[in-house]
Amino acid sequence: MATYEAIFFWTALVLYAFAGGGYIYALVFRNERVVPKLLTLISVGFAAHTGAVAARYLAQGHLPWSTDYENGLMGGWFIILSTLYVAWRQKPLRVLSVATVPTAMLIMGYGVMRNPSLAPLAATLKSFWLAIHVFFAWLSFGAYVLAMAAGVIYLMKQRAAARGEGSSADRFAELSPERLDDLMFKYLVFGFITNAVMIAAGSIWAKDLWGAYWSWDPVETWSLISWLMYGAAIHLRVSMGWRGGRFSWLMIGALASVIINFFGVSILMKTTVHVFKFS
Amino acid sequence: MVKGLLKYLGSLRCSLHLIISLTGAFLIGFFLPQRALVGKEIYLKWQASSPVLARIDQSLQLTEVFTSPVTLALWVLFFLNLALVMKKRIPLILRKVAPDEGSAERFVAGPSTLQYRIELADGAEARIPAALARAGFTLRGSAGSFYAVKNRLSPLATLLFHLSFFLLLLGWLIVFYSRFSAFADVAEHEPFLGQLSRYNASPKLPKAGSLPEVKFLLESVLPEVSQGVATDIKITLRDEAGKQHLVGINRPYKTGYSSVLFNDLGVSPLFVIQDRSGAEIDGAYIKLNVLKGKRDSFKLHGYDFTALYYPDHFVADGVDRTRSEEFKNPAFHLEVSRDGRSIAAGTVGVGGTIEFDGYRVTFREQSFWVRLLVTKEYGREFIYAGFVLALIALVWRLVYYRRELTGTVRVSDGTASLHLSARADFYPALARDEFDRTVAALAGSLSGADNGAETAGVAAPSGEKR
Repeated sequence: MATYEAIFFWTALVLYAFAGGGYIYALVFRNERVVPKLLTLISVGFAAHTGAVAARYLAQGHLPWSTDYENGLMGGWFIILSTLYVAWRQKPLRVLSVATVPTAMLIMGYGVMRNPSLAPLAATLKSFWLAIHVFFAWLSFGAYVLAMAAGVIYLMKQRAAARGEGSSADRFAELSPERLDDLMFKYLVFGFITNAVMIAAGSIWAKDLWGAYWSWDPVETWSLISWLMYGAAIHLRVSMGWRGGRFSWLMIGALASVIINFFGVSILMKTTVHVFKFS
Repeated sequence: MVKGLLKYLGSLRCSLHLIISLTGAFLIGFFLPQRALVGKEIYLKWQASSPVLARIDQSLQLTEVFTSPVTLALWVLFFLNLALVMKKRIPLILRKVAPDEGSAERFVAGPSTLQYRIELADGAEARIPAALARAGFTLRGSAGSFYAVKNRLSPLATLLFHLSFFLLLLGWLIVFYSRFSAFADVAEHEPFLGQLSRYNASPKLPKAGSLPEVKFLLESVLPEVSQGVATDIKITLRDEAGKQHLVGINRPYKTGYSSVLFNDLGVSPLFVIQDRSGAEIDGAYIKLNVLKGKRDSFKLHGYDFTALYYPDHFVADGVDRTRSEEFKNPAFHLEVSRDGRSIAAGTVGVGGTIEFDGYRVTFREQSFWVRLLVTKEYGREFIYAGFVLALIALVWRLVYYRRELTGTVRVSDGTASLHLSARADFYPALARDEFDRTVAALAGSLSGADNGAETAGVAAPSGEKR
C-alpha cells in the first residue's frame, strides 16, 4: 500500500465505521436528527476513499482491479457511490446506508486483510474488454447491494408493523413499503442488466485471452449461477407475484452469491484462471 | 398425460424449475473437480484422496457434469420450454401491442391503478390528444374517451430476449461443430506451416469445416516480467505475404476465422557440444520446460542432460539461486549422465561450458519458445448478435416499460373534468411519481392553472401514500 493510499484508506474506513455506528445509534435510540450528519460523514469518507483509489492508481500506474484488496477497495467505492447517488436523487433513500455502509466496510476490511501490496498489472488484465467487464461488474454489485439494503429496510418496517408500532414509531416513515418493494426490483433490474453486460464482455475477453468464449472456469460458472439466481428472482416477481417480505429475503440471500463470486471463488478454488490474486 | 406434460413444459413454472436445476448442475460442477478443467494431476490426486467419493462421482458422471447427459437433457428441456413458452406468448404479446381500438377494453383497473381528476377549462377537451402526445403517449379513441399508451411495443422485448437465447444456442452449435483447436510449440526463428503433424498431441478436429490455414515465421519473442508478474510478451510473426504481426497476451493474431493465441512460454537455449580439438560435433536449440523451478531433460550426442534454470542467477552460500523471474542473468544447472551413470554437473551462464568425458557443452545463446493455441471456428456472428439482442431486449423491456392511461371526460354541474386511470408495468409505486408529473403537466395545459396541484393526484382507494 502506498503511504497516501494507506492514510486515505484508513480515514475512509474509520469515517464509515463512525457512520455505521451512528446509524445503529439512530435506530436503537430512535434519534432521527443525526441521520443527515451521518450522510455528511459518509460523503467525507467517500472523498477519502476516492483519494485512496487515486493514490493507488498513481503508485501503480493502473486502476485497482486485480487482487482481493483491490476488489474490496473498488467494490466498497462503488457501493458508497451508489448509496450517495440514490440519497442525492431521493432524500428518503439515504436510509439505505444502514445496510450499504456496513457491507462496504466489511468487504474493504476483508480486502485489506488479504494482500494490499502494490504490484504491476499482469498482462492478462491489459484489455479494453476487461475494463468494460470490471466496470459493469462493480455497477451490478453496487445495484445488488442497494437491492439488499432496500430488502433489509423493508423487513425492518414489516417487523415494526407486526409488533403493532404506529407510524410515529416508524423509523423509515418517508418510505412506503410499496415504494421499497419497487425499489428492490428496480435495483435488481439494473444489477441484472449490468451483470449481463459484464458476462458478455468477459466472454469476449476470454475468447482473446484463452481462445474460447466459455470454459466453465469456476469464476465463470459462479457468475452464471449468480446471474441465473437473479434471473429466477425476476421470474418469481413478474410471473409468480413474489413481493414484499419474501422478495426481500430473496434479495438478501442472492447477494451472498455475488459476494462469493467476487471474494470467495479464489479461496474455494485454486484452479481458476481468473487473476484475482497475483499471477 | 402427454397433454399434461406439454402443458407443464410450456409453463413458466417449468422455466423456473429448469433454471434451478441448471443452477444445481453448475453448483456440482463448481464444487466437484471436473476432469476437463482441473488437469490430470490434480484430478488423480483428488481421486487418490477420496476414492469412494470419486467412484460415485464418476459413475454418476458428476466429474464431467457440464457435458453429462443429464445436463445436456436439462439444456434441451430448457430450450424446449423456451420455445413452448414463446409459442404460447407470441399471440398474447402481439395482441397486447396491437394498435387497435380494443385496448381500452383490456385495461382493467387493478389494486395498483392510480386515479386522477383534472378540471378542464372551456374548450380544453380538444387539446387533450396534443397534451398527451407531448407527454409521449399515443392515443386511441376520442378526446372524450380514450386509451393512451407509452412504450407500446415494450412487451415485444420479452420475445426478443428469449430469441437471443436461440441465437446463442445456434452460435454455440456452430462453434461446437466447426471448432478446431490445437497447441503448437514454436521457437524463435522457426517456421510454422500449419500441418496437422506440427501440432502437439490430440488436436481437437472440427466435425465440419476445414483446418486453419495459418502459416508464419516466428521472428522473435520478448517477455516482460516485473516484480514476479508477467507484464507483457511481444511475439513477432511474419506471414506468407511478408507482413509482420505482433501477438501478445490479450492480442491474438487473427486471420479470417482463425486465431493464434499466446498460451505459454519456455526457454530454448542453444547448447553446442565440442570435442577436444574444438570441433562442433552436435548442437541444437532445445525447447525446455524449466520456468518456475521445473526440471527438464534432453539428449545430445548420446548423453542425457538434466536442466534446472535460473533466469536471474546468483550464488548464495554456494547454492544456485535466482533473484527474480526476470530474464536478466540466465544460467542452467546441468547434470550430464549416460546409461544412468552420472558423469558431470555444473552451472553455466551464457557462453559458459562444462567439461565431461573429453567433450565440453557450451550454453551459447538464450532464446525462447512459445506455446501457441491455434483455433478456427465459425458462428461468432450469432453469439455476438445473441449478446447484443439480449441486452437491448432487457433494457427495452425493463427500463422503457409500458405506461397506460384511460381517460373519460365527464360533465357535472356544468364543469367538465377529465378522469384518468393510470398504471405501469413492474413498478406501480415508483410510477406514481411519473404519473403525478404527467398529470400535473396535463393539468397545467388543460385546466388553465399555472400548476396542476389542485387538480392532480387523487389516489385510488388502494393507492399507497408516499
